[in-house]
Amino acid sequence: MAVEITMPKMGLSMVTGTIVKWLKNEGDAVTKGDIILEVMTDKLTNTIDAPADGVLLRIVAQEEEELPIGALLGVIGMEGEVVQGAKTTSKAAPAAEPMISETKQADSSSHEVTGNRVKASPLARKLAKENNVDFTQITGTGPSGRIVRDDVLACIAQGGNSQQASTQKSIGSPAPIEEQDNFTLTPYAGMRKAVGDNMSLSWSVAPKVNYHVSTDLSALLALRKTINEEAQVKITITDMLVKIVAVALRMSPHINIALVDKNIRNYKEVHVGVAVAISQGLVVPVVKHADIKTISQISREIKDLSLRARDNQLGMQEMRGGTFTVTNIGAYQSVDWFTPIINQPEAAILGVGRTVDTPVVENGEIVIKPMIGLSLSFDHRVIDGAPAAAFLGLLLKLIKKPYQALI
Amino acid sequence: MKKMTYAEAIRDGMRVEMQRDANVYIAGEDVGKFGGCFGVTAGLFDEFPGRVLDTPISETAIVGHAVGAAAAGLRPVVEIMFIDFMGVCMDELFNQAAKMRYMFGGKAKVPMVVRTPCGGGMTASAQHSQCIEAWFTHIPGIKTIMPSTPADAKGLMAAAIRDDNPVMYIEHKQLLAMSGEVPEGEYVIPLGKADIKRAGSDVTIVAWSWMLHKALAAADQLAKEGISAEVVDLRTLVPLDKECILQSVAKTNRLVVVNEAVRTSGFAGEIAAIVVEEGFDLLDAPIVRVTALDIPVPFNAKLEAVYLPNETKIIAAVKSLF
Repeated sequence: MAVEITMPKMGLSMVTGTIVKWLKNEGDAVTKGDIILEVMTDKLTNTIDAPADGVLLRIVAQEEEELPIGALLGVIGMEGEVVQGAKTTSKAAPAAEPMISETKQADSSSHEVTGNRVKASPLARKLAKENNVDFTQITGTGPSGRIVRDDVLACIAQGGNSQQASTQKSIGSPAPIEEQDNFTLTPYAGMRKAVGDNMSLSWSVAPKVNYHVSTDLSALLALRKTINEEAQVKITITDMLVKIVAVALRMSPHINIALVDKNIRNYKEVHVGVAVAISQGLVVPVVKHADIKTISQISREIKDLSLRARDNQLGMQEMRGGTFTVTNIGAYQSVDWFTPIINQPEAAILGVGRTVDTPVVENGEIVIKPMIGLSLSFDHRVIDGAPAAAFLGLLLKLIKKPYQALI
Repeated sequence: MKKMTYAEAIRDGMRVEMQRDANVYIAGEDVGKFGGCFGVTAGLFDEFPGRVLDTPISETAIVGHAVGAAAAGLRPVVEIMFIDFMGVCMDELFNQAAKMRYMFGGKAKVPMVVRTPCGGGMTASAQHSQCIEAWFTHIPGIKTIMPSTPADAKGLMAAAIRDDNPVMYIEHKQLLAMSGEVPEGEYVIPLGKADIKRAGSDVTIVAWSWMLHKALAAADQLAKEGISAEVVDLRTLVPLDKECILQSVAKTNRLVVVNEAVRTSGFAGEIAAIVVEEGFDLLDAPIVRVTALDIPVPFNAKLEAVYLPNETKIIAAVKSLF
């Protein structure tokens, strides 16, 4: 009995997954639990185990294909078993059947059809046929990505997608021929698309206000130096800022919130996300209960999370549940302030810029101080200007007297 | 028009037919002077002397004698106190009443009506709360009626009595006290005609009996959220008004079927099958059934509320299609 390998749901927010790589070939024997392919979801590359013992009869989903949850990826069965619509390898094909060549032909042609596994409602299929629309090229907006009536009607309204129409379309906005050798194409998919979608969402839903300020970091640097004289693992400015932000959030429950659907979530705990750049994009692992953890605990966790993020080893659970995010690009020594985009559904984010020795006036004297640039972005739907300013003020106070955050 | 309850409308339907046709009579447990367990026949005992008969406590006798009387030319309207008791007289109904006209080559007719109340929602537990209409719709030769309003109750009672075949006339206990405008005098609604109780454009909700009212309430709520639901009241399950259902689905392209009965092998599944067979290309979404759970009806009120379909479940089912 053939067993289907389908796209699993690997996280609450997961809608689609992109096939990274098959680790087994058609015809390979597999044992239940063997890792057989890699799938990239919004943020992570995950492995998928064989759901049964047998032979990988058929690979349906091709590498780089982005497919919805539940989509058929492949089929495992007994050696020699014929899968309906499957392109069986010669090794797995039933032997000594006089009709074999014909059967195989029919199989491989149906493979092309069933291999797509496009979900479309009966009405959508009928409308598509009547209007000469290739529904397999339409993106479905119904439940589970099903193509529904409105999707076909929208496609028709845009001039359809029959071969003729698509040729005309491509003539409409072509790259000049001499330029076509000048670029390569990368699919906007997987993590790139996930990051992009989150940014677009935040940009479109949140009326965002940005506050910028510079503050004297000398007390924090001095404390860090003292701690690092004793600490086994050297703590960073980010570690200390995460702790300070967490303590400040504990004291500012009106900032530690999120707007989810029709309700404002007033979080009881403080979980600080830390943006980590990795080669494929950006992930935000979360330091849970950062307000009650020690700096060295936070430091160890951030190091561990970022290391594993770069190796693609983070679990979805480790990137969920943040109530606020800190993003530090100070290390690049290029930016003082910026306008970070809020990590929805959180309500605010702190951007950390570089630290620069700057002349400032203190007690009527011009003195040189290491000044750090801070940028607080907040969602004005749920946080007003005054409480945001008060929160930033609290942060400045704690940065100037950082030991207050430790006791 | 006259305002009356669903129970009064059933009674009025029987009264008018008894005035019209001397062959019509009523029989059942305590239907006489007492007026029936739910009071539906109240007053008819005095109004029609000798034509409203108290029977022994034997469903077999009640239905069995009616089969013979009907075959012999009378038009009995018998009451089974709860539909849950139908198991006792099933042979008389499904092997005798339903088969006779066919097996005798049309030389005998069985114009009888079995009135019986169904339904839950009143903590009457597993043996007094069931909706087993699918037992009867599965028997060729029997017609099955489940009215949802007082006016329909009267008009369909008249049609049931005038029909020359055995008719299951299934009342709902929750509806007996519901009042509404009912036409006076002779009023007949032909069997096999569904009624669109609310017009809409986005989704068709097919329901009957008590669930029709749940569907209407759900449609009210959905309208506030911008979803226009068309609510089709089947009124009679057999014969079934397929055209009405298919025409509605042709308009809305989505179908939810609400049935108070347990899910497996219920009549909701029959409607879904028909629409898939005959209206496949009309569908823009899967057909969803909202039914009771596949368990005996719980006695505990909270458990029974979980068991039964309700507005919330209907709304959720509708929303799952968008």
